[in-house]
Parts: sequence; structure tokens; C-alpha cells
Amino acid sequence: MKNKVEKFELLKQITAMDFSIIDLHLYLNTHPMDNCALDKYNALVMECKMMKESYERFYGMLCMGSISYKYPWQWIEEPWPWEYDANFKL
Amino acid sequence: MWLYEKKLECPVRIKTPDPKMAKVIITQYGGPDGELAASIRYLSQKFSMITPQAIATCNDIGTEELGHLEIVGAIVHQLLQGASIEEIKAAGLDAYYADHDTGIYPVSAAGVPFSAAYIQSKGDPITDLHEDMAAEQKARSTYEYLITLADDPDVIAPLKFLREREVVHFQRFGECLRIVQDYLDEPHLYVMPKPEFNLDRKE
Amino acid sequence: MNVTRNKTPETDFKPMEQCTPQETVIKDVKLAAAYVPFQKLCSLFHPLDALIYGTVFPELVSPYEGKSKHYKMSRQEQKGDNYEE
Repeated sequence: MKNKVEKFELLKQITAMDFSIIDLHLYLNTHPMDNCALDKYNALVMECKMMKESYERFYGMLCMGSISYKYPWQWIEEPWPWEYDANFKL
Repeated sequence: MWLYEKKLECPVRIKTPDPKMAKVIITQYGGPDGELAASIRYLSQKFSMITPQAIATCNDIGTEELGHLEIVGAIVHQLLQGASIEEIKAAGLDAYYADHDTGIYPVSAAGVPFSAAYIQSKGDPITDLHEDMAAEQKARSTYEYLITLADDPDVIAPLKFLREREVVHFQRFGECLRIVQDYLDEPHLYVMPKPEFNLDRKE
Repeated sequence: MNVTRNKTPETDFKPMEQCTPQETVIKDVKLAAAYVPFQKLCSLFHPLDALIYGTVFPELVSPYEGKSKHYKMSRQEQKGDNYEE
């Protein structure tokens, strides 16, 4: 249970950071000269990368091309993101 | 190409099945102003778009819409999971059930299957960007109608998220329109190829 | 959903100046063309707030609460006159 709580807490942070990154990415597409936005984007990406590395080490792969720390092949494990059990409470 | 990330863009956690809401929310999956239409529209238009900013925007918003398609699918899936056959019939979903059980199939709220007629990819950047801005407003309106119909806060939360994304996308396409308009208004230098003189045609 | 978090956006840059997050004047507009003002970056939400609001930009937040399901408008309210009176 504790493991699930920690997993969801980390997933919540990653989801929130990733979303901010997406929104900033779209802004940068139409504001390519905005230095401030670029710095903020890179800072978020670096922080998110570290969180994702932690997540993947303990709780499983997030992407095709992620390292698989568990055996057997963990990518196929359920629940998949569209199931109730895979989602945290915001 | 596309990379799949094993998480939703925003969480969907619906405790109570509700086939009545599933029947209407599926319109944002396979309906005229839904996420499938949006993603195919932008991802098709990108090939003939101009200016780096607008091409990137079509590509990246199209990509985000695929993620939204997954969210809408998750909402409908969780609303149907665990529902009884009586509830499904009472919701008027018996015709859908006959063809798809509680699976996900791209239809509108009225049961009309998805069609490419919902999108346009005119090849003209100004035209396409206006199409995109209109599409975002139509999607926003549809989410507003769905929010009005819904009661469950677990359902309303992701609908509000998706509605806000439409507002943001409208702003981005609007900025692209400014950029493309300015580009087309500027004078451009073109290199004319040297005309070839055919010396063999002397009679 | 209850947004119990702090609604003040993160102001970790441009905090002292008055920052307008958009252009307010568009020049040299032409006929038969549409213009959307450009957004300008002033501040960003904290990521968890961004996820709740649906955007990382406070100036783009557009709240919608839905219409009342029970309110019924009478014909008079809708049309404003009753010629039978």
C-alpha cells in the first residue's frame, strides 16, 4: 500500500511537470525568441527527467526505449493508463 | 514519428459507472468536433503548412490531441465498466452494445460513425488555420455542453481540463495565423532560373 | 473540484514590473483578415496548479461551471412580451 502511495505521488509530480512542459513547448513554437520561456522550459525538463528516472527505477517503464529494471518484461504489465487503478487522485 | 508515454496527460479516475454520460461523451471520441477529428485534421494539414512556427504548431497540437483522444476513451471506458445491462439499455446504449459490447468505437453521441467529412485540409495555410481555430471553438462548446450535462465531479474534472486546452490551442492557432499573414505580406526575393536558349532551332 | 491550493501564480521572474501578458495594440491591420493578439510571458502556475487549471499560463485560464440543469425559462422571460395581455 505504501509503495502505491509513493508511486502515485511521484506519478502526480511527473504528470504535472510533463503537462507544464507541453504547454510551454506550444508557447515556444509561436514565440521562438522568448529567452525567458526557453530557460523555464529547460529547467522543467531537467527536473522532470530526474523524477522520471526515479519513477522508472522503482515502478516501471514509462516509454518505449526506457530501461527495464525488472524481469520479466515489464512494459506489458497492467494496469494501463486508461484503467481506474492506474490513476492518482488530483 | 510518435512515442507513447504510459500515462495520461491528466488523470481519469471515475468511481461510478454511468452509461448515460458515456453515450454523450463518446462524441468527443468519434464525433464531428472530437479529438480524433482534431488530431487527423492538424496532422494532415501540417504537410502543406508554411512558416516553421505554424508547421510545428500543427504537428505538436495534433500530437497532443491524440493524447486527448486517449483521455476521452478512458472516460467512456470507465463510465461503462461495471455497468449492468439494464443500465446500458436504460441509457439507450443497447444498439451500441449490440455492435461493440462495452468496447470503444468512434461514433458521435447520435451513433454516427466517424467520417473524414468532419475535417478539411485545404492546402491553403490561411484557410487551414481558420479551420483549426473554428475547430477549437467547436470542441470548446461541445465540452461546455457535456459539463452542463454531467453531475459527477470525477467526470467534470477531466472535461474541464480538456475544455481549457481548446482555449489554449485557439490562442496558438491565432498566433500562427498572425505569423503566416505577416509572412505572406512581406516582399520575398525569388531566384529566377536562367531561360535556356535553344541554339539548335536555327533554320 | 475544490482548488484548495494557492491561487497566486508563481512569480519567479518579472516579479517587480507591471507585466501585461499580451499585446494590447495591433498595428497595420488589413481588411478581410482576422487578428488574435500575441500572448506575452509574465508568470507561470506551479505545475500542480497548472494541471488543475488546464494551462500553465494564468492569463489563459477561462473558467466554466456549466448551466443550471433545473432552471426553466418561461416564454415571457424568453421573448419579453405577451401580446395577449
